[in-house]
Amino acid sequence: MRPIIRFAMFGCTNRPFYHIVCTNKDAPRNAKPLEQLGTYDPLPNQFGEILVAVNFERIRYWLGAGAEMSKTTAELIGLSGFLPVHPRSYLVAYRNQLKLKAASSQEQAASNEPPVSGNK
Amino acid sequence: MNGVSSILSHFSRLNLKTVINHQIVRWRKPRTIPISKKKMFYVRKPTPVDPKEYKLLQLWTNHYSAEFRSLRKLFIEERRRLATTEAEAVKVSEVKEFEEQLSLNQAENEKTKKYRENDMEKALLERNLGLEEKQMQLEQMRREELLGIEEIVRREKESGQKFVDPKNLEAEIARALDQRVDYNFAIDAKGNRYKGGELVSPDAKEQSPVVLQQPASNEAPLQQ
Repeated sequence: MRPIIRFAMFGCTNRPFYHIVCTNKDAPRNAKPLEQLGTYDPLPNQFGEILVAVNFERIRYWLGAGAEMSKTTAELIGLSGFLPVHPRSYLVAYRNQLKLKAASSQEQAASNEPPVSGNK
Repeated sequence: MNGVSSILSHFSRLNLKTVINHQIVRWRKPRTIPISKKKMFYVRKPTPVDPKEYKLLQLWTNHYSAEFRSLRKLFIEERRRLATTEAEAVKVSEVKEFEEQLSLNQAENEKTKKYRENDMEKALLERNLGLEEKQMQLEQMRREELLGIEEIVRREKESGQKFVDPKNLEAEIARALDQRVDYNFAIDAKGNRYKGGELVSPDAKEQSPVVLQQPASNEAPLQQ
């Protein structure tokens, strides 16, 4: 047995919904798991919230039993503070920062430029 | 074996410096046909990697791995510790539960014992009563038997009085000779006798015929 904590996608077209699940690595994605450890709804609700439910007690148990974690699950749990922040989260933040800088510098450049005369 | 040789010949034409892994397994084309010219020396371009990003990622990943490893060790240790303590706790709780169950069982047994003994007493009493009743019935039957016997003896004694002795012999003979019996009567199914259209003796138990005359002598009484 090789347990892994990962997402099992349920829902329908254009409406994913994930179960955070501890299952055998060789098992199919949506097969009956060893244990369900939570849920993750990627689409924001009417209040703009993205809801995640996690059973940390059982995650502790399974990590202690030698379970792996998939990258996305590790990222998500890293955001909660139970695990350290994932490098990918930092990368995404870094890239967003660069974008923001680039955008702001463009605006500045656009505002500092002298006005262009139409006819000469 | 033909296929294998063709595969080996393909490999000999390839530049082994550039090609690392080339599997001759294609689902549409058979293995015996050679790789197409376009695909023969194709080398994939590696994904573009920003060196700055790469360095940052390396750092972050190292830190992350170290932290995650330490957490995992912690969780493993925790689980091991809990397992041992839990096992002991489970043992203790099991022993306690067993004792509780045992005491409950004993109480229940005593209760049922009381009921059982009550029932047995009652059954014994009933049985004894039954026996007594039977005894009384038996005695009653014996008494009745005796009475019956006595009755029979009495009847026999009575009828014995009517026996003909040598003393009564001549008188009896005379009586019998003098007696006249009339059989001139009609009788129905019930034993009622009719004479001259009238009922003579309705009693069906009377078996003896109608006696007409009294004997002349007064020694032996008439029998009707």
